[in-house]
Amino acid sequence: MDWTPFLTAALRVADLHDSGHTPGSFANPPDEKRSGRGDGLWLDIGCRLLDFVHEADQELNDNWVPLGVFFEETLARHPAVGVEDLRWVVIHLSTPCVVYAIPADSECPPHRVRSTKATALLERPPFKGPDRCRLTPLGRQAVHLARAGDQWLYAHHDAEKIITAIKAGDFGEIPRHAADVTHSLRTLSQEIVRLLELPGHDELFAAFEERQNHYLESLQKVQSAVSEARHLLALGSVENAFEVWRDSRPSADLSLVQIFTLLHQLLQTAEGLGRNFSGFIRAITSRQRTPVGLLRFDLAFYHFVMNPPAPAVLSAAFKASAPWSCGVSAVGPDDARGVLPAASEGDTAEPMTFDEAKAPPLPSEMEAFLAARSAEICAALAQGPVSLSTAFGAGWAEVGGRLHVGELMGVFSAPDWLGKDIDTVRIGYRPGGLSVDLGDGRRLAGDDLVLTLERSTP
Amino acid sequence: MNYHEMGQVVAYLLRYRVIESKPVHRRHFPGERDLAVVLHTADPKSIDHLQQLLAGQGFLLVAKTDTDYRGIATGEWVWMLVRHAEHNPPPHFSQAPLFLAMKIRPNETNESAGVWFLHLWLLYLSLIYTQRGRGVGEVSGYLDATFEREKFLRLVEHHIEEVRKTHDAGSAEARVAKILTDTKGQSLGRRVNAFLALMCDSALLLETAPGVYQQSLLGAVEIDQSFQRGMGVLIPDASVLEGIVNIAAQPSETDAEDNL
Repeated sequence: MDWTPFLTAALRVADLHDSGHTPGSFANPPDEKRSGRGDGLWLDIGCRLLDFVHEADQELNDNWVPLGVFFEETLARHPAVGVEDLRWVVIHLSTPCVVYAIPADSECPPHRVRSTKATALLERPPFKGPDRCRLTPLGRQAVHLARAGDQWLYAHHDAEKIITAIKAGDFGEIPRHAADVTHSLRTLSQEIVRLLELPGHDELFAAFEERQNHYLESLQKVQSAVSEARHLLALGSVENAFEVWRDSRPSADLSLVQIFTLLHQLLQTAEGLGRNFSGFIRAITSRQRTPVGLLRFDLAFYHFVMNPPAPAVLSAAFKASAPWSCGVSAVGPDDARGVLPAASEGDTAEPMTFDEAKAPPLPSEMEAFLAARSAEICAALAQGPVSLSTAFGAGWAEVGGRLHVGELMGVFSAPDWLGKDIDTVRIGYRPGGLSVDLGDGRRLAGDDLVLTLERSTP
Repeated sequence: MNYHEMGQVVAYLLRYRVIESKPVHRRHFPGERDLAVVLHTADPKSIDHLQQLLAGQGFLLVAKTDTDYRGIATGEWVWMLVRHAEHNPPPHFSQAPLFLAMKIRPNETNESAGVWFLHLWLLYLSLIYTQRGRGVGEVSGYLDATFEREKFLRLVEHHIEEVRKTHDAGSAEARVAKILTDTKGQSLGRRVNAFLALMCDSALLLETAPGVYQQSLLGAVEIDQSFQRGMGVLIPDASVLEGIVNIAAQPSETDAEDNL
C-alpha cells in the first residue's frame, strides 16, 4: 500500500508544529529539500512494517506479532540493512513524542495548550524475548487513514453519508457532506474538461479506461442517494425529528427548504458531470478533436518583424481574434455636436435687467374704458335713468375699435367706478329687458340694469 | 424567452460580451441580473433559435458552469458571446476603435497602430501561453494566466531592444522594425497601457487588482475557438519559427525570480 498520499498531506503541517519561528522575525520560506538521506529507505521499511503488523493483526487479534518473517523479507529486499537497523526502526515507531496543540474552543489569548503523548504507533512487549510488537489504537487509525488516502476517490464522494446523517438525526452535518460530495464531483468534472484540452489521443483512451468506473459509480451513487434522501425527508417521522433537532439548537440556521436546495444543487452538479462525461465519450469515439498545442508566440514576434503579413490577411486575423466593436450607422450623441450652429455667438454676456422705476405702468382695461366713456355716462345720468340696453345702443361699449363688454357691465353693476364726485347712484333692474346684439355674433339677453342718479335732498 | 427578451440578450451581449449570474471581480452591469435569469429559465427550443440568430451574425453563445472550469462560483452560469469558428464575421464589425485606442500620437497612421497591436498581442500571448507551457487549447489555465503590468512592460522592452540590436542596419524593408523602435521616453509605457485598456474594455482581460491582470474566461475560450481562422492563419509552421532561434533570447532567468 502506498503511504505517500497520507504522508504528503501531513508533512507541512508537521513542519509547522516543529518550527521554532518566533513571531515578528524575518519570514523565511522553508527549505524545499528535507533533511535526511533522501532515498526513502527508512520510510519504506517503516511503512511495510506497519502494513505487515496490520495484516497479521487481522488473524492474531491484538496478540503480539512475531517479526521474524518480516525481518527476513526486508533483509532480502534491502541487503545493505542489518537486523539491528530493523530493530531501530521498531524502536523508532514505538517511541512516543509530545505534541502540542491549541484547542479550537480557546477564544482569546493567552491560549490553553493541550499536549498529548499518545503518539506511538507500535508497542513492544515489556519482557525480553524474540522480536514482537503490536499496533496501538493510534497505529490502527494511521493504517486506516493511509488506506483511505490511497483510495481517495472512493472515500470522498460517499453520498451515502447524507442518508446516514438523516437517519441518525444529525441534520447539522448534512450541509458539510453535501458540500464534500459537490466538491469531489466538480473536481471529477473539471478533470474531464482538462483531459479534453490536452493533445494526444492515446493518453485520453488510457485515462478513460482508468476512470470510467469512477465516473459512472459516483454518478449513480449520488443519484440514488439524493432520491432516497428526498424520500426520507418527506416522511412525517423525519420532519418531527428535524423539528426536535432544531428546537434543541436555537442558533442553528438550517431549514428543510435549505436542505432540499442543497440536494437540488448536488443533482445539478451531478448533471454537469454527466454532461461532460458524455462529451468525453463522444470525443473519444469520434476522433475529431485536434487541440492546438504549445506555440512559440515570442518567435512569431520576430518572424512578423521581418515578414510583416499582408494587410488583408492581418485584417482577417484581427476580425477573427482581436478586439472589435460594432460600427452601427446611426448618429451618436457626440457626432452632432459639431453640427449645431454657433447660435451662442450672437448672445451678449449681459443679463436682461428689468428697470421698473423707469417704465410707466400700462393702463388697465377698466382705466382705458373709463378714460374714454365715463364723462358721457355721467352726463347721461344727470339727465335721467340710464339702462344697459341704452348704453349698448349708444355704442358706449366700443372703445378704440374694441368691445369692452365686461367693463361696461362692471360700471353698471358697481357705479363706484364712475368717480367720487357722483352722488349716490342707485341700481335697479327691469326683468327680461335686455336683448342686445353685440355685433360680433354674441347676444346678451336677460334682465336690464338701470342706473338712476339720486341727488341728495338738501 | 420571447423575441423581445432575445433581442435584449443580443443587444447586451454585443456591448458587454459576457453575462454572468454571479460575477466575481466586478459588480453586475445594468440589466445583467435579469438577463441571466432569462437565459437560465429559457427552454432549449428558444436557446436553439437564439443560437441560430447569432450564428447568422457570425457568433456563438457558449454557456459554462462551475462543473466545467475552476474559478466559476458554485451554482453560477456564464454565457459568452464568442466569434463562431465556421461562420463569417458580420458586416458591422469595425476595427476603427482598435486603431484609435492604440494610437498615442495625434498623426499616427493606422499601419503603425496595427503593427503595435499585433506585436504587443503576440508578446501578451507568449506571456500567458508559451512561457507557462500552456497549449492554445487549454482553456482551463485561464485562472492562472495572471501577470503584473511591470512584468509585461519589461518583456516588451526586452524584445524591442533585441529588434533594435539586430536591425540597426537600417535596411529598406525594415518598416516594422522602424515603427517598433521609434519610441522615446515614456511612449512604450503608454503603448502598453493603451493595449491593456483596450483588452480590458473588450472583456478579454480582467484587472483583478490594481496593476494585476488575468485572462478572462472569454479571452481563453475565444482563442481556442477562433484560433484556426485567426492567428492560426497568420502564424507559420514550427519549422519556420525554429529558424529564428539565434535571435530570440528569452528572459526566462529573470522571470524565475519574479514568480515567487
